Amino acid sequence: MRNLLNRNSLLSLVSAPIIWAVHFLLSYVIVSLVCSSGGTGAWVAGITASEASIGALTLIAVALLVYIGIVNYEKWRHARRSALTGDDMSRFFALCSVLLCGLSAIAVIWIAFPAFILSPCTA
Amino acid sequence: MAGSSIPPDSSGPPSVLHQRLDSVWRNLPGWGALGAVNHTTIGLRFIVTGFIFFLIGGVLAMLMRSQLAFSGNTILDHKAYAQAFTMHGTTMMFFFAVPIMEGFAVYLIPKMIGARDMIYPRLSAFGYWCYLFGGILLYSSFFVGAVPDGGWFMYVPLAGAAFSPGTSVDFWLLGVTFAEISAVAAGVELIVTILKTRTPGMAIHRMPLYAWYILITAFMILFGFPPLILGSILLEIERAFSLPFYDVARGGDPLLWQHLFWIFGHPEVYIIFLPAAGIVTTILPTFAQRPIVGYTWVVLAVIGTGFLSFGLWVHHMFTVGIPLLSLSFFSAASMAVAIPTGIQVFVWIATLWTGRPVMRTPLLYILGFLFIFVLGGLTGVMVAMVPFDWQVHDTHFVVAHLHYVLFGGMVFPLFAALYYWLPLFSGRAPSERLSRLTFWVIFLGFNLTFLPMHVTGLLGMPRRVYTYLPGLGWDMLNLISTVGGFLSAAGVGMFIVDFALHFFYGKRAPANTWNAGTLEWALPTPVPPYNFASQPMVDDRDPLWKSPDTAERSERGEYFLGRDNVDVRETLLTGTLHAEPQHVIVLPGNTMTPLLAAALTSVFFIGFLAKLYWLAAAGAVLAIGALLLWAWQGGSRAAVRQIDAGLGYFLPRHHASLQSPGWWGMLITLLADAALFGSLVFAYFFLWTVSPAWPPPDYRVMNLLWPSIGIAALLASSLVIQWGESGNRSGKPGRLQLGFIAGIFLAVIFIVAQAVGLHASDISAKAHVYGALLHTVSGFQVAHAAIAVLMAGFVVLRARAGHVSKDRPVEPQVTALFWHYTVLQWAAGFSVIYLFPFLAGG
Repeated sequence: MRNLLNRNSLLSLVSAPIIWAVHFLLSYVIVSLVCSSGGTGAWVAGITASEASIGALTLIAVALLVYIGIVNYEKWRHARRSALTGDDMSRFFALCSVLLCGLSAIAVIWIAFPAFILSPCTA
Repeated sequence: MAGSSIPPDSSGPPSVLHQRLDSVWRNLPGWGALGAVNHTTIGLRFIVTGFIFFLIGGVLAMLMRSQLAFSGNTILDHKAYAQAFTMHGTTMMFFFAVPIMEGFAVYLIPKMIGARDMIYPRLSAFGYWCYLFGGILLYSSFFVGAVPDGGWFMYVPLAGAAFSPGTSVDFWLLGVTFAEISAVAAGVELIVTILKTRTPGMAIHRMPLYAWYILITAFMILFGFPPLILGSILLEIERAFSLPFYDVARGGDPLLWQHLFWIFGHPEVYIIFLPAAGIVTTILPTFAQRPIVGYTWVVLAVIGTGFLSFGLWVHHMFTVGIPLLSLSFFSAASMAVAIPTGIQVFVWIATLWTGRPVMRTPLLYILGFLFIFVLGGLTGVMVAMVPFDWQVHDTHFVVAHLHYVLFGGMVFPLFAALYYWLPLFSGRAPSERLSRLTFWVIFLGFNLTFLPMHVTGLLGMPRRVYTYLPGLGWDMLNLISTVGGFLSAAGVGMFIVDFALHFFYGKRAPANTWNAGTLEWALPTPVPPYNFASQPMVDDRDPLWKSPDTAERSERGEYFLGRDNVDVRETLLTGTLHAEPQHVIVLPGNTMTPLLAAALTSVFFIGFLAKLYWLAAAGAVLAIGALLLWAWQGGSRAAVRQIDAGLGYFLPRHHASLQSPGWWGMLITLLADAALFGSLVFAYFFLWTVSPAWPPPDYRVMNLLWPSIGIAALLASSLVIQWGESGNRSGKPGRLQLGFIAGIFLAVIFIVAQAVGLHASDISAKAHVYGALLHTVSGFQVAHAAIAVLMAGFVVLRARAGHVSKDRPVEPQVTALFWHYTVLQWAAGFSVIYLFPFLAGG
């Protein structure tokens, strides 16, 4: 259990929503920068600059969340099997992390979704 | 150890242990009670004062409802109406909802986690006095005829110097900021109390859910309040000294205020709601007579809400002309936050469903909460949708929505809490008949007021308008709302009568009145000032259901710290996750220092308000003096020894600890400080994005010589401070003093270099926001450096007085932590104000 992301620690526990927060903030900053620099027309193979950057950001965020979710799911299964040894704390941290990954992933995708439908700078 | 056995609700003669603890912990009589620092007393003061503000805010609401009862009514003119809605909102949000919820947390958390007091009792008292004085300052505006009337959000430019030239806005800014000191102080100490003083065995996954709710709320306060504090400071600077931040003519932007206000304002709604939801989650299992369903799911929901609520703020700004795509991010986050809220609602329903519910008054209020809050949540999802919001923005629909969320989500749980925990306070149970009748009057009155108001809003009636013409279809609806409003007010009046009568006619409440599972019910009723005669050992989430003899054993002194020869206030410092005993914390007793510090701080605020800046400066210096006196009162020169903490544990006092309460407090405070600085950096970049050229065209390139000398000195100071601090830990006291004096010297060089550099750059602070930000960021840093110098000087004096040594490393360590943070902050600040404009192509 040397992985930082499935340790029994409060900071590891909130790694998933921190990823959501960073994704959210960067998405907002990207749109602000794109719109204040007037760069809506920067086309690369039919994709705008904001779509490309928010898309890449979203892929990274979701990949990280899936990874953290999987390592904690493994930890949860392990802790459940060895329930007789009474490591309730590991079970709690693992399950809570998995759930937070799920919630954060839904929120990340939900927030990124409009970036591919709306044009960035219409007020 | 006391031999005699005392049943929990016994009123018989107390044992030696209880007498001893009582003499150490009780408040002083008469005027001495002003020096009380005990969490039970301070918590009650918060609750009572908060309730008084609730009544005042309610009177203002009744004035508004009277005015709106009929079209063309003349009870209030438009100015008085604006004052009424401004003060109603401000009072309810800043002086009722947040403080009363904090009051409950301060009162309950130590009892629930098996501790004897909050970890910083003097800070609780200081927070209370700041809150009280802030409220008095705000309301003193009535006596000088300068009542704030710009809305509870104080939007600029209306609140700027041009359109609000008097002092009414200053009353608001200073009064609210004063009270916010109390919120942040309570946030810091609640976090450290919950993480570090849980009774042994209460590992983090067994902690009562209420503690989880308060932990997350406290973190939200730390990150949510600083943006508003910063926004208020900037607005006050603009009004008082004419440095532009919001003034468009000089490169500012009023939207900056809206951003800073709502980055605070939306989390604020959850800062109010989460503690209330924590109350619901605590009370519900008691009346369902079973543990909560899905403990881990609730923790998920609370953490999720805590984070997501910071992604909602722009949904108050859907109509200000922000790009549609940006709006959609906030719209999506606003809908996503319904998921964790929904999880909690299903957890509550499932707990009731699978339990054996006992219908008592507190449960009735909880059911009322569920009904009203779910409706408020649904209209919340409606207004989260941008097109719908555009239709109902600034109409009474939003007023109805927010009252369903806040009254339903916070006031109903508050009444449940008042009834539920009343026996701890008075030792008596309220009348079941009158309290149920009270519930029905408030419940019906509330719905009669606000259910029709949704329709009033959909029919187009705007908010914050003092009257309306007849024949628009609003007359009958408004009359119904007014009748409903007075019905709820009558309900609140009945509650007060019920409360007063229960002291005379209430039945004696037995210990564990409602057969609850949480630790606060292991206490005798009414609770003694020291809470637990010995701090219990727990091994379950509902310790009283698992081990019903906990109360009795704690009373007999069988657990931790049950020695009957104590002469100081003590509680245990335990591990963050596993709550294993680590140290014995010595807590301060009754002292007037917090009151003195808060009173002197109010001199600063009053001086500022009256524009008597010499008085403000004198107040600030005296307040700092009081805080230094406060710091001097702590510590110990006694030889370090192990104390028999009970159950075979021998523990040192906390002065010997490397991660002492003081270190934790500094660490958590720095989070709030970083949020304040982060808000300033946000303001900088926000104003940069709205500015066509940065720096403005006719500004010449700055000479970086002096700022570079300054930052070099500051970076070097960190090294010598570290050298001195590590010297102390390795037993070389000479190195400590030398290093800290060198650090002070270097920090003073920084302050001088920065001042000279600003002066030499010849950039006006008043001509353009660029110059204003340059001076503000520098000023923020200079203030930090000055505080660091004071702290280091304090440590040198303490070392000379024998309070600091290898075995007592706390004070140099805390100072070094603050020092390094200050230097790190300037690395960021320097990059922002000096390197960024250069890179951005100025």
